[in-house]
Amino acid sequence: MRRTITFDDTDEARLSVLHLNGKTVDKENFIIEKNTGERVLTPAGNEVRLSEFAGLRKGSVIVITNDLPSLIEQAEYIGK
Amino acid sequence: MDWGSLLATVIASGGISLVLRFTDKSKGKTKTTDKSKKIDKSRSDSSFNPSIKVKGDNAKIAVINVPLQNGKIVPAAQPLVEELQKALDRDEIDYVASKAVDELSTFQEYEKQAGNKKMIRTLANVLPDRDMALIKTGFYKRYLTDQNKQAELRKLVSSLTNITPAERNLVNLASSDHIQHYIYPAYNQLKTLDNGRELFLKHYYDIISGPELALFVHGGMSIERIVKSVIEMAERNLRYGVVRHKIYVHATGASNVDALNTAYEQIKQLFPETKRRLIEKHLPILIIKIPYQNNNLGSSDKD
Repeated sequence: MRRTITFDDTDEARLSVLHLNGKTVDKENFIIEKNTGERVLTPAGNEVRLSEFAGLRKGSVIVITNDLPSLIEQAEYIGK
Repeated sequence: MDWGSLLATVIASGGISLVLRFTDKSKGKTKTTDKSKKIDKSRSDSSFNPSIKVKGDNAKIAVINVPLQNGKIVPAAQPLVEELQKALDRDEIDYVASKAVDELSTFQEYEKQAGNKKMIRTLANVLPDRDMALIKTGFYKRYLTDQNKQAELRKLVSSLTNITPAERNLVNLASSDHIQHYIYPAYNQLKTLDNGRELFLKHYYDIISGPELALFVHGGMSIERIVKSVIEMAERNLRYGVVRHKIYVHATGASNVDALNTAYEQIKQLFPETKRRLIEKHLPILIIKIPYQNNNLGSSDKD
C-alpha cells in the first residue's frame, strides 16, 4: 500500500525524516546515505542540500527537492 | 501503548492524511509553518509526549507527534519510532514537506485555468517528463510575470538555483513564448513526415542544449522584423558584454524557412561571416549562424 506522510518545513523535521530512512547529512549539509556516506542524488543527478530537501519516495529511493520542476515531476505522489 | 497496532490501523485507513511532526522540547518554539500550531515552551511536558492523534472533520488527519531533545528523539518516543520504522518498511510511504504540498497546490490551481492544455498534452506524448515539468514551470513563470505577482515570481526564481543551465534554458524558452511560437508549431509541421518524431526530437535537443542566444522565426515575422531582431540582439549582447559573439536563428516550416532564406541575404551583407545550414534538403528546417563583432554594427560599440 502506498501512502503519503507530510512533515513540517523545519530542519529538525527534515533530519528526522532522513534518519527514519537511513540517511543523514555531511559537514557541508548535503544529504548522504548513513551506511556508505555517499551523497544522495536527485533523478536529475544533482546532490541535495538539507535546505532543498522536500521529501522522498520510499521504495524507489527518489529524493524530492523543493524546486517547482521536481514537485511537478512527482505530483502524482505529492497530491493531497 | 501498543504503537504498532495503532499505527497499523491509522496507516491502513483509507482517505486519511498522515502528518509527521517532530517537536524539539529543548527549543522555545517549534518552527512549524502552521502558525496556529506553534507550541510555547511554557506548555506542560505532556505536550511533548509521543502521540498519534486523529483529528479534522470526519477524522481526516492523523498527526504522529515525535518529541525531540536537542535534535535527538527522546527515550519515551523510541518505541513509537521503532514501530513507525517497522510500519514504514512494510508499506510504500512517500514523505513530502507540507510547504511543497502547498506550493504544488498553488501551481495546480493555476494549471486548471491555463489555456495551453492541448499543447501540453501533445508535447507530453513526445518529450520526457522532466522536460515537461521544466516547460510547465516556464509557462507558470510567464503567468506570474504577466500578472505582476512579484513575490511569487521571486520565490519561483529563487527555487530554481539548483537546476542545470540546460534546464534553465528550457524554462526560459517556455517563459519567453518560444515553446508555443516555435517548438510546438515545429512538432506539428514535422509530425506529418515519416520520421517526423525523430527529426523533431533531434531539432528540439539541438535547440535546448545549444546556445542560449537564439532567435526563432515564427509565423507572421516579416523579413524586416527578422533582420531587425538580429541587429537588436547583437547590439544588446555587445552592450551587456556577452562574450560569445554568435547568434543562431532557427526556422521550421516552408514559409518560415523562405522568410529566413530571404532575410539571410540581407543579414549576410551586414554580417559577412554568416553561415546557413539546412538540416536536410527535403526538410523545412533552416538554421543560420551569425558571427558578429563591434565593427558590424556601426556606432553601436559606443555604448
